[in-house]
Amino acid sequence: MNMARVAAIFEKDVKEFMRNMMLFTSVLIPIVLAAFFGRMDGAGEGVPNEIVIIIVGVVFTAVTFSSMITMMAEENEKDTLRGLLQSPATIIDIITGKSAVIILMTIISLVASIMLIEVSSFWTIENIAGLILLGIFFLNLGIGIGLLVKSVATTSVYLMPIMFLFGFTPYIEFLVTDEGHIARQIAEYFPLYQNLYILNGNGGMPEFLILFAWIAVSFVVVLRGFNKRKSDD
Amino acid sequence: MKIKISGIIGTESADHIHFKTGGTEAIQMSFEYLTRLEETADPKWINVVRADIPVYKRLNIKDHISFYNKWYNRKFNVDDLMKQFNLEDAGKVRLADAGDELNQRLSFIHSLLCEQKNILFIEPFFQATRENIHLFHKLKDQLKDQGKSIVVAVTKTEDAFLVQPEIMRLTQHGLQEVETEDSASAENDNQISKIKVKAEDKTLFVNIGDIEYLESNEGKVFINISREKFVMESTLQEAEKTLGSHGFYRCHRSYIVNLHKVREIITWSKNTYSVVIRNPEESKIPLSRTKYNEIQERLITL
Repeated sequence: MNMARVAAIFEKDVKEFMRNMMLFTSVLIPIVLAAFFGRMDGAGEGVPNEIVIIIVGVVFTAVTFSSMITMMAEENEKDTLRGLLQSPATIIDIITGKSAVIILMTIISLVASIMLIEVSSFWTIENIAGLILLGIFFLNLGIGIGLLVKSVATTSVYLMPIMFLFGFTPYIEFLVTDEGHIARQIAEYFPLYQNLYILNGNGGMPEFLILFAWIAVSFVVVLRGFNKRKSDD
Repeated sequence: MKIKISGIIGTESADHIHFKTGGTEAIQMSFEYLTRLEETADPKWINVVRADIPVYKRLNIKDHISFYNKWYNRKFNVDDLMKQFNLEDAGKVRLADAGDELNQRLSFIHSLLCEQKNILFIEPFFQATRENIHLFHKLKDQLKDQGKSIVVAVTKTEDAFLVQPEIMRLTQHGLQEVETEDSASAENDNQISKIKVKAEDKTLFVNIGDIEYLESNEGKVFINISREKFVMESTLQEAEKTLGSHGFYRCHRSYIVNLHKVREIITWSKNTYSVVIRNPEESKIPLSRTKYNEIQERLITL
């Protein structure tokens, strides 16, 4: 990895990020949502953890995942990558630089949202560890799918299902009220539910193991993305 | 580095397009061959400079140049580069708003910063401004100093001569050098006012005064009159004889220019000259080094 190149990409993409309304507003969406939800609770008992975790889900899908596929799709669409890609190693530099930008934006969006929603005891060690794992999962998903998307217009095809499945998972409790229902039992193995359990304070080994399993799945997506791209070239 | 031409022209040929270190080749070819050459060029070894290079449209020109500079780990001073390519006032222009002229300068800068040793220019003079042609010549010298090899591919013979006096031509028979030595001109008094030309199945008679220039290309003589080209059934020698007394001048082995239509003469480098025609496209006709002084005398006494 060539750090000078990673830094060059990072600097360029920060500038592009700030000037791209589509990406820039994606950082604001969870913050605005958090401000709404934070004001909604009148009883003073604090916002329920389900809502907090959905905000976290929105941050990771709307900022981490969506920005990654949008940035990659834009490079593919405008054909700007071709001039930079002289050796296979350079794609790693590009992805690392872009990931750094997205991690920065994710942190900004997440910290601001959590501050606005006024939840206490959010930044515990276990919770932060869980969030990092969740972040890796969504970042990998973004990289893997971003390598395949050819145009910005097709990104929403991927964004919608990923957002509903992985970003809004706890919403299933409103759709399927029967607690023993098979759909709810499956949903409880989704990554966001593990973070909910960790946030509730009853997270243990199994929750982290499930998160690691999801990360393993996301690495398979990344590898598939690279292989597909290699065979396309 | 070399490119096999058999893949471009589709017939068997042992010839190659050579990228020689510090050297420049100007090659005229058909549009079809040009497209294939561009596809054949491996971006790993060859930096292709096109008219419309892909850019990050949200960045401004200065950010773009400093990105290339860092990406390729070059130590150029970005302000100096911008000064060299006359971009001092354009630094804050976003690339979405930058026109073709600025985009071309950016592609020139990219060729200076890129890692590849071989630079392939595709039609650098197509709709290029005069300033950019001057910049191209400065760039050419700079790339030579860096030890890079240049190949310029164009469709118009005049454009090839804008690069240098020695040019090549790629045809279905392979890659050939275009002869450029000058032949002695002959004077002949002859009072005619029209000339016979062919356009597909019609035969036309055009006013000699309307002709802008004549060019010989692969054994045929073409007459250029305001964007149109007609075939003339004669050799350039014969045409020179009949037209010599009407203020026409053989400015190059393959070109005869109507001196009445000449607007100016441009010096691109120490042995590359052009005659600019007074027409909307400002057609640039190659001028041989040996004719440089003579044409000026002829223009004065016209």
